[in-house]
Amino acid sequence: MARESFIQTVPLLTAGDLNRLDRLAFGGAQRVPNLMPGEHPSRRVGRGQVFADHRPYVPGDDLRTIDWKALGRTDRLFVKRQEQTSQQRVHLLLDASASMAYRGQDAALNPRWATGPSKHRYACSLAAAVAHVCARQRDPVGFSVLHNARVESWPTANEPGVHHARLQHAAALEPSGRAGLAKALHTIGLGTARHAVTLVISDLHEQMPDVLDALSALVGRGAQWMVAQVLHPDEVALPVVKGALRFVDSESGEAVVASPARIADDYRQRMAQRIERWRAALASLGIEHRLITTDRPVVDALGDWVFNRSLRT
Amino acid sequence: MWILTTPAMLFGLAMLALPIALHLRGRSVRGVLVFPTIELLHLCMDRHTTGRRVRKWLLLVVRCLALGLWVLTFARPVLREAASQSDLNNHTVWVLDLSGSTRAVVDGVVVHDRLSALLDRELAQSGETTGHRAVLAGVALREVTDGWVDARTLRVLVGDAQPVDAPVDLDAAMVMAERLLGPQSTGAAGRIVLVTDGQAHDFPKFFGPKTGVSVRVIGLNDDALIPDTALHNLQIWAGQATVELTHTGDQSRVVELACELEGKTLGTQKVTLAPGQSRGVSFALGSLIDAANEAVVSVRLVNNTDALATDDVCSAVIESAERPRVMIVTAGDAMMSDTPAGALGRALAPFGDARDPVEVRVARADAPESWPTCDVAIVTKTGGLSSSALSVMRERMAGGVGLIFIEDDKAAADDLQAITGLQSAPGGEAARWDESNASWSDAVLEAFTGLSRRTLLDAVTQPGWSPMRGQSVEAILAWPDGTPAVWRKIGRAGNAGASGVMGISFDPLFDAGAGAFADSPSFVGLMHAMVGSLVTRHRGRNVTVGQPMVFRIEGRSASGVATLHGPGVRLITTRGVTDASGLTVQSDATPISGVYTLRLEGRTSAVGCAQPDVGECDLTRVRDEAIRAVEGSGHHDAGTRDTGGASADTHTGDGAYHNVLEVWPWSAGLVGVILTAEVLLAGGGRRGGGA
Repeated sequence: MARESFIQTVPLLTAGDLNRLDRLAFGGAQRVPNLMPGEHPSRRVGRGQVFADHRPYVPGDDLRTIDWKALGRTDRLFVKRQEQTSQQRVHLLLDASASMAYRGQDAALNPRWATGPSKHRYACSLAAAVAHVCARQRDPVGFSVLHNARVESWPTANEPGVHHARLQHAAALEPSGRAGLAKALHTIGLGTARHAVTLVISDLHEQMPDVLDALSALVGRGAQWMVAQVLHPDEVALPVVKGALRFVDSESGEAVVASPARIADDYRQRMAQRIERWRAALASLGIEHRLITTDRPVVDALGDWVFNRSLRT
Repeated sequence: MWILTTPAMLFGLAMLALPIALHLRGRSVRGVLVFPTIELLHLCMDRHTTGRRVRKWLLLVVRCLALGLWVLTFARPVLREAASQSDLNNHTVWVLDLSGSTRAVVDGVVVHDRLSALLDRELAQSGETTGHRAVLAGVALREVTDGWVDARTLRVLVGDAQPVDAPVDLDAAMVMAERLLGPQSTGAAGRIVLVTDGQAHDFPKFFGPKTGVSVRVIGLNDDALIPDTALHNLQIWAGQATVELTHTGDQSRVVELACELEGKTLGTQKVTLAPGQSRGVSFALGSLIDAANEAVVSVRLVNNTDALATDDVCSAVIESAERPRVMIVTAGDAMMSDTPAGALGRALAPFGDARDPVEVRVARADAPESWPTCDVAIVTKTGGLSSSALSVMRERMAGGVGLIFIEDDKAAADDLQAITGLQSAPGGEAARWDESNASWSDAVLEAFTGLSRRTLLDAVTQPGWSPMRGQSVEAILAWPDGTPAVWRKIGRAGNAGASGVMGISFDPLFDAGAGAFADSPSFVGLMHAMVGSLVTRHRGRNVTVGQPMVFRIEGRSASGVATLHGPGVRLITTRGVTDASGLTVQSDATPISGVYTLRLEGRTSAVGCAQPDVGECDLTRVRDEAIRAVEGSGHHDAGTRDTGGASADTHTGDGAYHNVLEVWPWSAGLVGVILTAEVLLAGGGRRGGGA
């Protein structure tokens, strides 16, 4: 109860974050076939702000679409057409498995001194940021939370207040259980729209082949997928601690005693290789992968991501 | 035996704890960290644990070395022979067995001499090291040193030790020796060397050290058996030789005792002893005791197969002569203890037992029929003697009884004048009681020591000088108050065949009351001399009566120095006994002859019991002078001891017993170091390798 009240009182994003997020745009790389107006370029040509082309007038066309200037120059009736922008459905999948509860070795060894957020809360903040950007773009956003090996989903909505309530609820959840991401992806993929963008926010401590198999099946259905791999810096490079630590797996409960100082280099290399394998594997499926560590502010991490995407496009 | 309280053992345990602590520290985790996944950690550790295999062979070598040292720990007695010489540098407490068994003669050598020779040889081998103390296990345990001394000093201090006629408690001696090594916290690496012939009932007790102290036993007689019957405390008294017989065996037995006088068997007795029984056995000596006079009376077990020791085959030797028997005859009202007669009796025989130089009986003058047999009769207030008493006395005189008259009659002026004529004799003028100093003048004492006896006798036997003329009068001193009636009585007594008649008029004695005797040690000495003179006449041999003058000097830092002169002076201190010949007494008011004792007791003020003028003394200086005197006098005869040592070698082979259970505690520390290295070698792999 205390934790929930604390989370409810502490916003996932500050006012400053929201102001900075107003300058960002988020969306899929593909054109959106939707008919609902929005800010994303659509495959259709119709009403819009950006001129597309002219076509000869045919009876029945809306007279308001006739290009009167072209009539004066050519004495022919042309209809001016604009590129139509539409909404893009965005679905956010939050991994709330037990591994997402990690807050760092300080939190584990010295709970009183722990100040950083857990990966789960960071993921919720990231989702809130994305949702805020999407809401500003009038894109409907849906949520799914993978918690305790079960998927809890909310339908898409386009109201920031709804997003806020849902994310606060998600943040209040105590990460637990195994993720089972492959199964969750399959479940979610069946329920999402074909051209929706689904952002998976997870640490990807999963069996890679299973996840890739699930994603490959979903990608073939036309959906756009993105994966934000949220890791704590301790996961990227083991914490600097003298002596040995008993590491307990957050999901399996297995334990191992190891001296981080002795295996830090090896671990860092192996983790880098692991991340790179995820990136390469997802890229082969056309899925964008983004590594985000919790030591960076959410807005900065999202801004860098968006900026890099814009450079690529 | 594992003694965990010894410093070395504690150090060893601490060293053993070190690798364990390092091991635990290496294994301990700083905390528990719930990590998202340990999949990569497993992969990393599998790679690192491969490095442990490299150290396996080295670890094997280290562990084998640790086990080898552990085995050497228990094998230390084997190695000790080689290291015995270095052990001599440690502190050593020597325990010398002075039990009666050491008085036995084996192969012509007294066992005690053999043991002393062994001790001398061991001390000589120790060189000039200073860590030596000694415990003499006699009737009472006695430490002869005050702190740690060098071997040479110790040889001097134990040189006079003589065996006693009793078994000793060697176990208590070992405990005392262990205590002398100091508290275990001091870390003294000491040892105890027990010099004994092994003839003790409780000998097996101290085979094992109790506190981890190294114990070495030398002088054991391999042929001896553990005895179970002992003779001790032989006393000659009342015409009998009485010896205590103790049987500690577990079987009843019949022993035969033989009493011998100068090698001649006086009689034998067979005694049945139950297990644990102790009883006394007496042999009647009768009139032989007088004839014996300083002869050797011994009681021994006949055909005893137990052992050679005198504890079991006891041949206790007692130089005996019956004490003079003194009868104090006084009036009826003088029988009470607070009368001068009673005080005189206590002064002559202060202890009331065999320690007194004379046996004193007080008899009523009006009951001569109850008078005991005596050598000397001291008659006080002779005027009160009845005719029947005088008759009995004359009868006793016929038996050679000496008489001492103490009179205070002041009536006869003629006799008084006659006696005062003594003053014209050389030395006689001063023969009077010194009222001011309440003591007898030196001239009186000189008269009784024979220095001017001839002159005195000539004076008193002059015609017309005294009614005692021509009688066997030894001496008449200070007779200012004698009456003709008294002299007549004395004359009759002398004519009756008395061995001697002496008279003392001692007014202050009676005027001052009973305390006069106690306050006048010189007077007591005078009475002893008188009794001795009369008994010598009576028994026909020289009998010396008198207590050794005991100088009880107490105090460690006094200014004065007490010195004694005269032959046979012995210094007896609470720290030991040594010969102090050559020392001189500074304030000796009397010529010194015979045995004098300087007894140092306590550490308070100085008190002169028999000689109040001795004053305080510096005990340390006195002791040092005594030691130097002993060394200079050659009393410590090393040559004789060396002969005994050679005999010991041939007889016992100087068999040194080593305790097989003794543990070398420092080796535990070495093992700890090895294990520490082992843990350090294995630590990296363990910490990296995890659980």
